[in-house]
Amino acid sequence: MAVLPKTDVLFVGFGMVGGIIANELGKHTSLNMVALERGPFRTTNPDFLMDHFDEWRYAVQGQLFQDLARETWTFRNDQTMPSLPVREYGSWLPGNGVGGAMVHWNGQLWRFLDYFFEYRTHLEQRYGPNFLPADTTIQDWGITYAELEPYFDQFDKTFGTAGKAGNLNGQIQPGGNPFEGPRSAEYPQPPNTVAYGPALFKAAAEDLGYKVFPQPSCNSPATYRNPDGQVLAPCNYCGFCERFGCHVGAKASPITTVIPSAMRSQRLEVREFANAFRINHDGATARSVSYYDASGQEQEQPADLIILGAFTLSNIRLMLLSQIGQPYDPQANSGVVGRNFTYQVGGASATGWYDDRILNRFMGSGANGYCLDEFNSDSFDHADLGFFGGGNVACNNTGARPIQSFGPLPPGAPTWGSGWKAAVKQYYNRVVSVGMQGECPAYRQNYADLDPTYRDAWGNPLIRITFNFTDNERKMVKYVAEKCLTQIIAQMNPAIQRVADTITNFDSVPYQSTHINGGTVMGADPGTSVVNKFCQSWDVQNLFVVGASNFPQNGGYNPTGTVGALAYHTSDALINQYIKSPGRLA
Amino acid sequence: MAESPQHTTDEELEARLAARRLSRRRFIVGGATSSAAVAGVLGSAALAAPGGVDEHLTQAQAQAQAQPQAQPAPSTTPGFEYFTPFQAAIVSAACARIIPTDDTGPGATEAGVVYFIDRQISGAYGLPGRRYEQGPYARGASTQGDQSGLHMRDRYRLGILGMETYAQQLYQLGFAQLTTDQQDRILHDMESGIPTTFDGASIQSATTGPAIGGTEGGMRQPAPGGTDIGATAFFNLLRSHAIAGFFADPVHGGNRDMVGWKLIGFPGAQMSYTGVIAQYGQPWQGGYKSLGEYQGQYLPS
Repeated sequence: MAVLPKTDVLFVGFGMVGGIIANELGKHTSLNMVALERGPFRTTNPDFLMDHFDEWRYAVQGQLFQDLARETWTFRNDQTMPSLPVREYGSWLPGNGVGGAMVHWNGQLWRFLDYFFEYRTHLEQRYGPNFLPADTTIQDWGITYAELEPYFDQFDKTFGTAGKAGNLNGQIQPGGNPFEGPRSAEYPQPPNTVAYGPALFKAAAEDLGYKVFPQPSCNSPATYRNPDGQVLAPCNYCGFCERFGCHVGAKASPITTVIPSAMRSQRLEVREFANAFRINHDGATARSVSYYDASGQEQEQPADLIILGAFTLSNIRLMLLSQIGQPYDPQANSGVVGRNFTYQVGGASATGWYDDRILNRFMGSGANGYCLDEFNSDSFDHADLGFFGGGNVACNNTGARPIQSFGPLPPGAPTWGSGWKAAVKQYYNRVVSVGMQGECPAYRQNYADLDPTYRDAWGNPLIRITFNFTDNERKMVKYVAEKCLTQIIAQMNPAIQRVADTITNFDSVPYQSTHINGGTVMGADPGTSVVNKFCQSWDVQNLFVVGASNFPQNGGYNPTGTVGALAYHTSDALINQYIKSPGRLA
Repeated sequence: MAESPQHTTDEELEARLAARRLSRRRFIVGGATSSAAVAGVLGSAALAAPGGVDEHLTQAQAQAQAQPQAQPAPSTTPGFEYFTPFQAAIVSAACARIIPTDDTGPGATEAGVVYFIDRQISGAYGLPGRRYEQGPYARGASTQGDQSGLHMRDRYRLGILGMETYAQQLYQLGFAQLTTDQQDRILHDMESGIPTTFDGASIQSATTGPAIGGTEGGMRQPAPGGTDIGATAFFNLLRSHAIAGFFADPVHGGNRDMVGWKLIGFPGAQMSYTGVIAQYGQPWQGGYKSLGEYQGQYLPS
């Protein structure tokens, strides 16, 4: 094992979080930086140019995803089940490489609702102290929307987001989302051109009186030059976003924005194929990070400041492997690392099949549609409903690649043979779906820890996920399906309709979402959080842990925008406070 | 659905293996080219079976004589990298029933689906690839996904044996020699989990094929999960790979002439829909394009 020359700042995982912070430190400090990334460094050209339209290679075989042969995670629904390794790609698809999972994301970009950052306080004030289920561990974030708003805005401008504001400095704007928190500025780009299916949804939902607004997007609708001088190309609506890199650099991601900017500092070294496995520390200060290099040799990289900004699963696992913070114990309800593990709740959807309308489902982009928030979070009165929470309702045309999206086919369609073939021919291009992306509360029994049995390719324990839905979410799904989706699909008037309104147990097999959150949550109380509002470890003061792993619970939205705001907020605290005077930030 | 596998007694196991040994001899018959070698391993049952050695050799000779020596095979003629001819015949026949050639147009045969499957499983996808392959192996709940220790190649090997043995049980013929109605009956039985000629303890599948079902694209509804074993698992695997080979870009060996895309109107690898995405309800007029058309431009001429 070699101990390498010390650097000032060391990034563990180099995706959006690392890219944002490295770019800010590169512009505003003279610090030297090293980034450890377990995967390769891909760029639009040559990696995706003329190559990304390949459903089999990228979407099914998962060219851009975490290599499960080397490291996966184990899963069980509850503590009575033996945990088993997830051996194949299923419910979620972590990335692998510089830029992280954002390289293959859809680009649906949200800010969590303003009161969501003080969710427990909000719900207890509105419904009383006994309203919430006893086993939920949802909590306030220790930071407010108002504190984060400038950083959401910085993210918007750097990533060239497209949309229509619904609340500008407290003034409700027509055409936008009236439920959103106040924005200090309009989106830097206007909404994308939207495909036919979502347009049918918009017309029907507006007929029913809903306030429909464009899906906020990181698929650049036009040529856009960001404040750092990086240029996003106009989106071609080719229909290959999620699971693919972008062939023209129109999808905002770290490799099209902050990482090339950070590289310009000339003080950043990105080390590919570096698998970090331990943060070395004395209980108060971190000294270095140990990793296996591309040839499998163990290396130790010392640094003054360490930014753990990997995917949620890796953030939690590295804290546990490094023995930083008290591991969560669900029996005693004590400890913090691994606590408040959450996901995303889908399961409510409505699908319609037309006899005649050609929808051109293959034309689209990852964020190409319309949304409504009347049923999200606490937009509606829950006093007599027997559950809390809700979800964003949306219709997006993300591109229907035929291996995975030849359907859905109408109920009763044959699964093979001439009947199947006739149904696919008739309905592939005549089907539209509306779905709910539901929030996911935290519960005492849902958590992450180290697996006692299964190990990665280097012999270190895998992370173990213990997770299931509860009756609260089952009621939420049924309610939104019955009160909203059923009416909307009827108004869209397809020849055949189907509404899905039931979820049972969380299933790790079908893909649902890569929105995995919690485990190193932020907060004001070290007894119930791993990091403070600046994402600084309560235990090791020169370690910052940033990601969706900071979320105490997950909202009814994609998490990326909120993670981005946290990364900019942390950057600001590092530049203006910590680097000048290292120590506990307050 | 996942159910606890029934324990197999030693006697049952031995009977199953014996049946398999018998049917395996019949496979040798199908692939043999030397009548002397064939005669050495033949049982009378195989000789008596329609489609047995005599008929097969006659066909092969007829083909050889009909093939002019001077005419080389077209350069596009594909062969098999992994499948034996016996395996390829069964996979090809099954895929032709899953996606038949009918009045809606070309099916799996014209698309060359068997070549697609062969190419995939001859490469890393047939071996562990990016699959987590560390033990201990255990049968889990359906929500925990595929826990099999078998590589894709061996799933095909065992699945094909199971199909052939079941065909022999029902019809005293190999699967590839059956009528299409008989083949459909076998595939329906497999889908329903009826045959016991599959090694249920070894073939377990939830997502071994591509995650198909068409539930994506703006919809986040989990498909009905389920870890199944034996005949149903192999049917699901075949079905998912037939569909993948029908709809994957032709660069992967199937979907020849983009017949899968043309059936449903998916234009393939198009650079841009910028001008037309907002022309609601208008059919796409720009034709079909494979990735190969772009890739070729980058080769030195």
